[in-house]
Amino acid sequence: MYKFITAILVLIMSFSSIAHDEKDHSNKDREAIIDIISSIKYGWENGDSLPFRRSFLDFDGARYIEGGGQNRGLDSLVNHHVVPEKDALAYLKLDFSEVEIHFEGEDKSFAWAIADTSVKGKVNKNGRTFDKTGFQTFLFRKIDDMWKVVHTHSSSRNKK
Amino acid sequence: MKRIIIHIFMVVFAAIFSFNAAYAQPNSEKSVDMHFESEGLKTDAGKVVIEFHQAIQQGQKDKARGFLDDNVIIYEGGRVERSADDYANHHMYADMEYLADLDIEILEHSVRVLGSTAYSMSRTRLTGQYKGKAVNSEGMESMVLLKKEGGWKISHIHWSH
Repeated sequence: MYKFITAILVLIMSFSSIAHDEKDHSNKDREAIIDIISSIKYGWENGDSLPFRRSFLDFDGARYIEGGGQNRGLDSLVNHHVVPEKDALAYLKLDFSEVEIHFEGEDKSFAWAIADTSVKGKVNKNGRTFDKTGFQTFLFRKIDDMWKVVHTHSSSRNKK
Repeated sequence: MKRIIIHIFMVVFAAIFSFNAAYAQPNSEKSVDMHFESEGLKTDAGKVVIEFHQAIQQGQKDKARGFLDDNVIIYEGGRVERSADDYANHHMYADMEYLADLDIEILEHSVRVLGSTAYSMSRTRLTGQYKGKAVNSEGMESMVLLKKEGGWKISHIHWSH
């Protein structure tokens, strides 16, 4: 009887430990993706290419869709949009809210995140301001234990 | 007492072994099954995307609905639909009506498959007349597909133009 109780207790402790580790693992991945999304916000707002260079997977065929157009590859995104917008805009305020992250695959090495977006800014050239809301999709792959952005799609409309 | 210690040791060893087998191995396996560009379109996931497009363009509501995960999340035109039934009972009709009379040219389409997950990216040009107005626009589409028991299902769509 004593053996049986011992075995049951040890098994319960083991399963509890596994569940805890899995939760920690999941939380760690979630935090890593939230950090990347936060760094992307910082990168856009400050015209800083570093968060994009660090977190995006640069590969042949990469596509980043925004505002009805698309950037082919990381260089296009960074050199034609992120960095130039620093000089073109007096300010840019980007917010992601209602962020949902879904982990997929047997080893949970793919994730997609969606969010509501709010983007405000002022164009230096003509003083025009804009205030838009919309949606954002991010796709991620976990490569060598690091999460990398493989695709983004943002769409927005003038705030009503 | 000695027998009890041996017994506990064996149980703990078994638990650790089962943990490693169930959790550690998948992380060490980087089984990436990736298909690029036109190759991706020939995969089962790619065929689902193509057939979904065709069903929408041809007004086949039930067929189109069948490719969607019940809990699909669809971003379209500044709004969100959070289930296949929501989309099928509301904006699917409008999309079918809109696309029925337009010419659709696929400018770019790639599908990438990673095990039981896939994503699709496409760009199309729409031209023609809709309700008396000329249409000449470019549309963007991103999709996430998951392989489930009944085959590949579309779990997320983001449409913009």
